[in-house]
Parts: sequence; C-alpha cells; structure tokens
Amino acid sequence: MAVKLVDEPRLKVRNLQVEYHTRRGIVRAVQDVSFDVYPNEVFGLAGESGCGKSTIAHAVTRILKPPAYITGGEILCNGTDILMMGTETLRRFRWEHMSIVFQSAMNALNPVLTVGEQIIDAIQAHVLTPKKQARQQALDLLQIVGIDPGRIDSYPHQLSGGMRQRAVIAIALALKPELIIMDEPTTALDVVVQKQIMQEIRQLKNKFGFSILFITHDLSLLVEFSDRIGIMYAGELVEVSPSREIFQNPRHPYTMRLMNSFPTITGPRQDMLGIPGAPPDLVSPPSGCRFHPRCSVALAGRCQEEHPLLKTVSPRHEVACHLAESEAVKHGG
Amino acid sequence: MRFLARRLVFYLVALLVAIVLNFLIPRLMVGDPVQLIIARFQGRIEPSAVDAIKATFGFVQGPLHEQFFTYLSNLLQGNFGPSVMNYPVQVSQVLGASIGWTLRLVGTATILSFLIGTLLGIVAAWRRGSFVDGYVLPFLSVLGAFPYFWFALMVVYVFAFNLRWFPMSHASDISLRPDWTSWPYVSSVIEHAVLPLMTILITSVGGWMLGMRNNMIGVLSQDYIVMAQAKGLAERRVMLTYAARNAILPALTGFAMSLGFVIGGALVIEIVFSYPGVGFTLLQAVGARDYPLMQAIFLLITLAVLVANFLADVAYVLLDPRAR
Ligand SMILES: Nc1ncnc2c1ncn2[C@@H]1O[C@H](COP(=O)(O)OP(=O)(O)OP(=O)(O)O)[C@@H](O)[C@H]1O
Ligand SMILES: [Mg+2]
Repeated sequence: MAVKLVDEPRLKVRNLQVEYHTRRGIVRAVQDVSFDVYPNEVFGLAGESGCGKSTIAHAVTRILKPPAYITGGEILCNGTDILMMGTETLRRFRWEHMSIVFQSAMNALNPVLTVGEQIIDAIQAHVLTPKKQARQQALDLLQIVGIDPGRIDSYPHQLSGGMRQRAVIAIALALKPELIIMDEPTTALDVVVQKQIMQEIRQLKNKFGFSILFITHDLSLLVEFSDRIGIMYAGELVEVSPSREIFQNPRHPYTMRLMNSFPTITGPRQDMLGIPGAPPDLVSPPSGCRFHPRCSVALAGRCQEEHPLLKTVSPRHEVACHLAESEAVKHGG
Repeated sequence: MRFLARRLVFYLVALLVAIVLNFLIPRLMVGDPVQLIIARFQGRIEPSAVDAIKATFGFVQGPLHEQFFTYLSNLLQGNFGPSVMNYPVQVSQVLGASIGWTLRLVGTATILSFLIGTLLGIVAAWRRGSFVDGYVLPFLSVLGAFPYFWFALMVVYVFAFNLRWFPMSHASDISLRPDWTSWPYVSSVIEHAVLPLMTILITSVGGWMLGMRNNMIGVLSQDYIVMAQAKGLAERRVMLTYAARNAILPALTGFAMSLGFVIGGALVIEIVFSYPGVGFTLLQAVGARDYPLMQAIFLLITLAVLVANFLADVAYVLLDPRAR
C-alpha cells in the first residue's frame, strides 16, 4: 500500500486542456488538470458521468480524434512528452511503455480474429518475433490473466464476459508496459467477477510493477483499490489525496457529498448519483467555482466569482475550494 | 457446419417448390397450353413437335403424380424439350449457347463491380474527406442513379455510333468462326464485351462503394479499431483485417443476391447490345411465346439465385467465426 513518493512519477500530467469542437460550441471537457502517477501506484480518477475522465484517459494515450483537440499542457511518461512525439515514435512508445484497457471488452476485441491472433498482433507490432515464439508468449499471457491457455484459438464470442475482459488485459500486458490506463475496466461485469478481476489486476501489478491510472464509477472499488484518488468535477480536478484520507476526511463539498452517498466500504455498493442538481454544461460552465450552483455551503461572493485552485491542505492532500482553504488556516492556527 | 446443412436443406426445399410450381402452372392455365402453343403456330408446327412438347411438360397419360415424376426425371436429365421458336433444336441447346455469354459478361461485371466498389469504399472510409471520398464517391453515386438502359443507349450512341471505337452489338464478329484458341476471335469477343461491361460497371459500382463506405465508418468507431491502432499495428492491417473484414460481412448478402440475378438480371443491357445471352433469349422467347424455353429460363434463374445464396452462406461461414 505504501508508495514511495520520492520516485520520479511514471506519468506526469501538467495543465492538460482538452476541447471538443462541436456545433453547439467548444466543450471544455478537461480544464487545466495536473496530476502524477508514481511507479507501482494505482491512481484512481472518479467523478460524475461526463466530467471528463475518459477524455483524460484518451488524451494520455493520444487516441483522441477530432472533434477532440488537446489545446494545452504536457503529458510526460517516463520523462518524455507524449504530445510532442512523432507518429512512429508514438507508435513504438505506446503499448511498450503504456497501454489501455477499454471499458467494454466486447467492443475492444475484433470479432473475426482469435484471442491469440490479437495478442500476437500486439507483440509482433513491436518486437520482431517468430510466430511460434509469439504464440508461446500469448499462451503465457493467457495463463497469467487466468484464462485456460487452451482457449488461445477461441474467438471473442466464444468467451464469457469475464474471460473477454481478461483477454483484453492480456493484450494490454503483452509488452509489459510500465503504465496501464484502465477506463472502467469492469463495469460491464457482475460483482463477483469484477472483484476477482480487480484482485488479479492487483496481483499482476505487484508482480510486474506497473502503475495504473484507474477510472471507475464504483466508489467502494475506487477507495479499496487505489493508493491515491483524484476527484473530478466538470472537467477539473477538485481534490487529490491518498484514498484512505479522502474517504475519512474529504475536504471538498463535492467529495463530501460523494462520500455521503456511499455509506461504508463493506456496505452495499452505490453509484455516484446522490447529488442534487445536474452537472453543468461544459460549453459555458459556471463562473468562479464550477460547483457553486450545487454547493450547499458556497459563499455568496467569492465562490461565484473567484476560481479556486488546487492547494495543499495537509501533506499530500490537495483541494480546490475556498472553504477548505480557510478551514486549513483554522486548523493550522 | 450445421448452419450450412440447415441452409442447404432450406434451399433444396425452395428449389422443389419452384419445380412444383413450374409443373403446375401450365396445368392451372385456362385451356390447354399445348393447344394454345399449337394454335399460335397455325400449322407451322410439326405434329412431332406437339408430342415432344406434351411429353416434356409431362402431359402424358396417367395420374398427376406420375406426370410429375416424368417431368422431374426429364429435368434431371437436362431435358426441357424442344424450343418452339427454334424447333427442332432442344431448349437445353439454346440455353447452353446463351448461358455462357451471360455468365462471362454479367458474371465478370458483377464480380468486378463488387470488388472495385468495395475497395473504393474502404479507401473512402479510411480517408474521409479525401479525393476518393469527396469526389469519386458522389460522382459514381450519381452515375448509379441514372436509369441504366438510358446509360447503355448513350454509351452505344457515343462510343459505338459516333466514335466507332467499339462495335455496336453482338458478342463477337459474326464473320468469324467461334474458336477460343484463335486470337482474332477472342479479341473480337473482348471488343464486343467492353461497352456492355463498362455500362454495368459504371452504373453499379457506386452502390457497392457507398454501402461499403458506410459499413466501414460504422466499424471504424468501434473500440477494437482504436485498440488496434493503439497496439501499434501497421495501417494496412488495421484497415483490412480489423476494419474491412468486419465491414464486408453485411455486404455479402447483397452480393449474393446480385450474383443470383446474373443469369436473368442484365436483360436490358443484353437487349440494347443485342448480346446473345440468357436475357436476350428470354425476350425472344416471350415474343414467340416459347413456353418451354421461358420455363427453363425461369427455373434456371431460380436455381442461380439459390446457388448464389448458398455460396454467400459459405463465404459468411468462412469470414465470420460467429456463423460457424
Ligand atoms: N465526441 C464528442 N463530441 C462532443 N463532446 C464530447 C465528445 N465526447 C465527449 N464529449 C463531452 O466531453 C465531456 C467529457 O466526456 P467523457 O467521456 O470524458 O466523460 P466521462 O467522465 O468519461 O463520463 P462517463 O463516466 O459517462 O464515461 C462530456 O461532457 C461530453 O459531453
Ligand atoms: Mg468514460
């Protein structure tokens, strides 16, 4: 659980800004987001639907396509800026150092190729490997993720949902990357399988030592599985903290509401639905703090006008809220 | 395999139904069709022909089922009786001559059109907004919207009548003796095929292209395409094995249908170019009320549609593991 934060981050996102240019106007889906993911760390990202989590995941892997545009910021992976890479450099870098697991395993697998072929494809795209050897590696990978290697010649439709998701993870692991981005990797699965797979991912992480950028709707899974958590609201990161701390002592009113709507870690699962009001339209977000129209403790003047920035309120705990700041002052004084 | 076996049974039943209908229709017609035929020819038909026609329709003595089995065994032997308008030449011989022309011309055109259209559709979807997508596609689509008999007439008028680049009609130079080993004959066949082939191609390629492009675009938004690209696969592999392999599946049924209609489908083209294929023969048969010939052609078209559909099923099984 303890992650040494003295290491250089695997992934360093700085002031990331992503826009969707739509007919309605510019959707500012990700606004000035910065965070780090350290070696062997699981960094969880959570927030209501539409707050920009997937957009971040796709920006980090540079698979965004128009109308999405990255309009600012840096994404450093192992120290090199992904946004500055040329096509061929990126092609080689991706999957060797960083891979992604998509939300829906059914859509992430090509229905007309066997699981084995899809793993071998990934291997051979990066390392000159004879077919036989690549196949052996694919067999090993299947074993690692808990699929009977005898299923190597199965087509995706012949596998259960859980096995498909495992196959997708096997593909993501194919080149032993140092960072894996998992965008809601288990939402399509039932709770039991979900639990199993998450446990296996954790074991794999400890075995191979990769970092995970983990995106989910499921708060209990998030708190249980992540070392640190970033809470997003309307395209912005509003709170970043070690997961236990954010669970026990949330500082942003939005996080508090999330945690309130989620009773105990062992209790019944709950999605983040229990917040009054609707998320703002990202074409014209509210002034000041984006959360103020839905915030029960918002200050009349300041919260409406002044945009709060992430500030450290206690060691490793950052919050973007005017009230949290003053509270910190109170605590300190 | 079970899937194919089931389909095969279905097609056999369909064929049987077609044969039964073909057998019954002359019997359900008001009056005696054989007498009608004979009446039309007012003495110009020989009495022996009448008997032969009667025999092949199964109008022999005995109960209905016996007549049917006579009819069926005639069919199985390829015996459709004599053609009325070409008496005493057998229907099978008349068809034997024309079917080759149709298969070569329309078959080639249909397959080429599908291949070219599909390929162009792949490129158009892969490079959206490019020249192929922005100009070639709308141009071919507009051409495809023209009534193709009009197009055929224009082609004849411009390239055959005015420019005299290509012959106007027939399948080969009539002064040459048919001989597939002699170059002058073969080259004259090719020359005669160019205009009808181009007409079919130009009016049909746009449809395939548009269909494939739209299928491709649907497939390209799938996660497995994004994932294939992210994995670092070569562009060609993503385009063909990940995208086109999936996008072509819905097009197979349409392709099978058009293959099935090869036999009777290019009627208009064959008429405009006086191309001696099945369609042209059918027109003549209708004009001459050559019922034995017509019935044989209808049966042949049915058979072709069924066979083409079965081939499509086989292709489906080969290309889509989910159908296995
Ligand atoms: N292709 C697009 N065109 C226009 N706007 C888009 C597009 N994709 C996403 N958006 C907008 O960008 C914002 C962020 O979307 P994103 O998919 O990143 O949200 P998310 O946090 O992953 O949501 P979810 O939890 O539902 O997956 C949303 O407001 C969405 O409306
Ligand atoms: Mg998402």
